Amino acid sequence: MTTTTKKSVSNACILEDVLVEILARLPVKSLLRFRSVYKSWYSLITNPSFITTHLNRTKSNHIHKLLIKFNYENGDRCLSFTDDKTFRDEFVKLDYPFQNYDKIVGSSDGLLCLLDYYGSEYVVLWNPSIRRFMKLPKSCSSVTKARRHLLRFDFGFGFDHMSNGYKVVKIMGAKDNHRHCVVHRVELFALSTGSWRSICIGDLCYELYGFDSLPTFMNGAAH
Amino acid sequence: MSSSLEKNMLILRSSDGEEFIVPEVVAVMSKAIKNMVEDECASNTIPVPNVDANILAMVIEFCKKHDESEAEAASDLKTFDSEFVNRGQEALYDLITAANFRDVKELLDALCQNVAEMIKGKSVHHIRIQFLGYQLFEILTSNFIWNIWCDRDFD
Repeated sequence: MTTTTKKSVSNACILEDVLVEILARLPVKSLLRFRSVYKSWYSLITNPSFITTHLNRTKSNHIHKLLIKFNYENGDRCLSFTDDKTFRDEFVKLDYPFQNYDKIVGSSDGLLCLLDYYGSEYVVLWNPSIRRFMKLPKSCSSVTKARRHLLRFDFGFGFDHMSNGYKVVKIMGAKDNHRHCVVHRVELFALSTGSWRSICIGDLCYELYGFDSLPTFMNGAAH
Repeated sequence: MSSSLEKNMLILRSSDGEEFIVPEVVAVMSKAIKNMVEDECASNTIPVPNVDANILAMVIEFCKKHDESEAEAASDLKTFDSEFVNRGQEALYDLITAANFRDVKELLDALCQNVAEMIKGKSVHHIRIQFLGYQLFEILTSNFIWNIWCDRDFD
């Protein structure tokens, strides 16, 4: 009996090393449950470096998830995930944790960026896998309702490899005298700092086209 | 290198003294052994402490298969892997220890994958029982207690 106990204890020290390897292979659902196994498991699973390891491993498996949005005739909305294997067979329905957030700005690594119904002020970041969401603070340039019709907003969401974090970009356009829409102000929200900051755009006088189009995020730049 | 040995063969000695003659290409799948060979500190026999003959034989079997089957279909290898890692908990732990300590990446990958599959759907309670040793280790952080622990007799 002594030997077995010794063995399991010596195994235990090894497991500390290997544990990361094992846990990184588990689906998110199991990880969420296993947070409550031990304190050390909790700190390991919620550790940013572990999350990165897990994310990279999941990405390298090349299992693509498809996000489907339904708009029912009665006004109900529903989001659903499916992947290559279960396509057409199984839809995992995701319940919106909130009302009035409907427009999808973009998604990156399983994070979704949603916009409120009127598409102007409020942005929500949502991680459906862990059922957590975060309402972004109002940006510094809130406008009065009276002026709102003169302005238009475009959003972009993605992962910035330069700063290693997720960012939301907000581009405000204003109509000029010739009824063209020109870039008026650009603001950036970094998840790492949790705040908006305004970017100097200099003499950028591009016109904005395509009102309701969604920007595409590639390699850290919104197009 | 011993002259009586064929070229490119190495002798591995397990913790309990048993010797295995293994082709070098197979042996160097362990990064720890590879480093020893590259640094030319490998003499006639390479001792593999902490790994007994039983486990060492399993590890060698795995490495041989993976070396031979470089040209083999990946699906065959997968079948072999899943059958290979399908063992009792005790052997599994010993294999993990060996693979981790000797740095055999392919084996460690296969084993970790297997353990992950095993625990994926388990309840928190079940995991606690399975990893009891780990929990005890957590409580015992000081070396002093650690020594007493190891010397104690449990029944």
